Amino acid sequence: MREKPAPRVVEALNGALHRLFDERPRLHLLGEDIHDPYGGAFKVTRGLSTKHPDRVLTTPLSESGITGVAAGLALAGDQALVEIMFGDFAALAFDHILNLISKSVTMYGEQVPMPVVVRCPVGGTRGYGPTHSQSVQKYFLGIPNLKLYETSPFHDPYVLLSEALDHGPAMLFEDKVLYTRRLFRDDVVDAHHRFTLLAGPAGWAHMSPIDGGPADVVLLCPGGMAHRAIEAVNLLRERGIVTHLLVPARLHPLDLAPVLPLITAAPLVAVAEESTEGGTWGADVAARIHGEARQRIRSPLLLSSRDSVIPTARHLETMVLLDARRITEAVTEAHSGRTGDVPADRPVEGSTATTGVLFAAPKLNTNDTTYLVLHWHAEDGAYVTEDTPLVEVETSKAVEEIAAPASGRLRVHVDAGGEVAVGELLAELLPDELPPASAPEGALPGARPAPRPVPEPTPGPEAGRYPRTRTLDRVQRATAAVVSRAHREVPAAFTAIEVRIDEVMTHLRRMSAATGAEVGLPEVIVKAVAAARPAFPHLFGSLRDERTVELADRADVGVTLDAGNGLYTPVLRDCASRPLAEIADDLMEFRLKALRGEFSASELSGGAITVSLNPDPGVLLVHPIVMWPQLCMISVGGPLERVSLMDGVPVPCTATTLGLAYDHRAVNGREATAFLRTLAGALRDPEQLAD
Amino acid sequence: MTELTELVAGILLIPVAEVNEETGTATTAAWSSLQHVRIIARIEETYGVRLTAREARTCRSVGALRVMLDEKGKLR
Repeated sequence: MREKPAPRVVEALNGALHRLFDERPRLHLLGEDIHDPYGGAFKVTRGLSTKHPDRVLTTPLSESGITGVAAGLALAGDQALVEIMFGDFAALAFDHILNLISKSVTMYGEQVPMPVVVRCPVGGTRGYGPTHSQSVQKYFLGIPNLKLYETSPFHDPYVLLSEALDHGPAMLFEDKVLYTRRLFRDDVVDAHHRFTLLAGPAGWAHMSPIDGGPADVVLLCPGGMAHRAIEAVNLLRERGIVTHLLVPARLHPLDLAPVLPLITAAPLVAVAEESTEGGTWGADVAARIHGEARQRIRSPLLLSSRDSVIPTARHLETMVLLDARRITEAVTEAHSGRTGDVPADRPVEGSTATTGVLFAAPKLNTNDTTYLVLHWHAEDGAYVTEDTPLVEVETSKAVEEIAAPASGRLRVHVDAGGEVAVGELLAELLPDELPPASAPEGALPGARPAPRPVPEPTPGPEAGRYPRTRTLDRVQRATAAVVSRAHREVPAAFTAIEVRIDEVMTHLRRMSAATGAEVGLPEVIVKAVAAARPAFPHLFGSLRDERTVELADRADVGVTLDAGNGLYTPVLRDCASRPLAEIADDLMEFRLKALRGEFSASELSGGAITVSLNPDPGVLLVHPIVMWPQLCMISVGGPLERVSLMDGVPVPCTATTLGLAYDHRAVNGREATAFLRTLAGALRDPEQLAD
Repeated sequence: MTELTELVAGILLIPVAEVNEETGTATTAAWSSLQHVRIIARIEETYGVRLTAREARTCRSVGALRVMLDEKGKLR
């Protein structure tokens, strides 16, 4: 039988509204022309007024009035959806959104729920003209308490609307062209790409090539731009540029943490949006990325529609609105400028076109297009000798020292801490006979002011002295971002118990010998943690806000792995229902990947709980950091030699320490202790974990 | 090319004379899970092979590693 096609976005939205009205008896919908048989300008509300005539209210043409009534319903304990016929008209509702709906949450001395969602069809390419085609998201950015969502072909609109109502007030922007496109299903986008959802069904969609490969470019866009972005990704693919696409369900506040590792690993990041230039979501995202990933990536490329009203004539509208072709061309140009394709007019090492020797960054390995300048061994203006070590740069693999290509006075072009692309000018080495003070103004176009006078050249043991520093590599900086946030956000408490592991180790030795494949304590602990989920469901999940814990529907368990190339926390999926051998295979795969540093972003996200593994002998106790937004992290120490009494006789035994750090807002010490005892019980009786 | 026993001894920091075909996870305390991964990685690098996770789990001793490398034609 032929499979039913995935729903179009308008059908999915309509289905979501029907389901919400069935589930929520106090939900109301207000809007213009939303009654049947018309069912709204874009037919999103079709059938609702027939089924729920007392709660679906078609209203006079007053966006301000409608939105004010919705605010009143919410304040009285009801829930309200508002349909603005065209998002452009939301300007008329702005006062209520800015000054009543969003403010009411926190201006009465206590938290007031405001379950109001204002739905706005937005965007152009339909020839509707200047006042019916705008992308108005940017006017609502940064209003405290107001969350902004956007429909996408990756996200279920029911999830978005539910979350928006439960954590509102919120606005949902719905791209008008997207209404007629189908949702993607079964993780498939097209013949070349698949997608996964990071950080839950209302998190980020991550589209990546099926044939793998690290990203040359990471492209971020809101849902309405998704199809144009996908078209651009395929055009870029034909040009040999591997592009990963990231689409968030929630535009604001934007949680970058789940995708930061992917972003920081990419040579080029671009943000694309339909909004016209100036004060846009894309600008905000680019600034956030630059702030959070400073010195790891270059400034993101921002692509918006042009600074213009949106014309009605289709051929003119096309010139204004951002499309796939413009994304493709801009990304291609930026990418070629960052991959070491040195333009013909760019100076290269050894050139003598000017008075000095130009010193460009050489290609140090095949993987990198940029390097971080760590340290100059000589000061700007100092005399350096040919072939002596001059500068240290950090590649993705190592710190490399580059020698001076010639003798001369150093004129630095990229300071320590800055990034330099392959082929880009690092410094010049000026002839020594050119006295710094007499260098003619403008002798070198774009050069710095005249170099400072320096002492006579004294290269020797003291020449390279500098404060000892260590630059954190990319993986460590990603770890720093995660643990810093966890430390800020999570009021963690900690409990630990000691447990004997003789029985389980004997059991594992037998099992390994019988199957011929190694199974270790970490796998058993992961299995024991997963097996405990039914009894302790509230330890597996994430805190969505101060009142709500989103419970995980299966035991996806993260594990900490550090093979010397940085700390990773890949996630073992569905550990409760899979046999121990499969978990052991996955864990071994992850260990090898940790050693090679080749994880994908999807392997590092989505855990419901995490286990910190610290197997070195003698490790007594590890107090882990809870990986926000998770609620708990378990720690396992190393083997400890102990003496215990058995029938009054001292006997040697082996023990380890199990610890649990937990978010004290959601978990208390009694539950923590009970959970640890359950794990200890499983270790004392490993047969109960048999497949 | 480094002999397999020398490779293993070098990572486990034990004398080469103490390494034989039986040396493995079940017989040698120093052969921990982390050291096991390091041994696998060094073997991949030295012999130009790539092991699957299952192969890495089943090669639990020097003897097993030698059989695996022989089957892949890396010891001829």
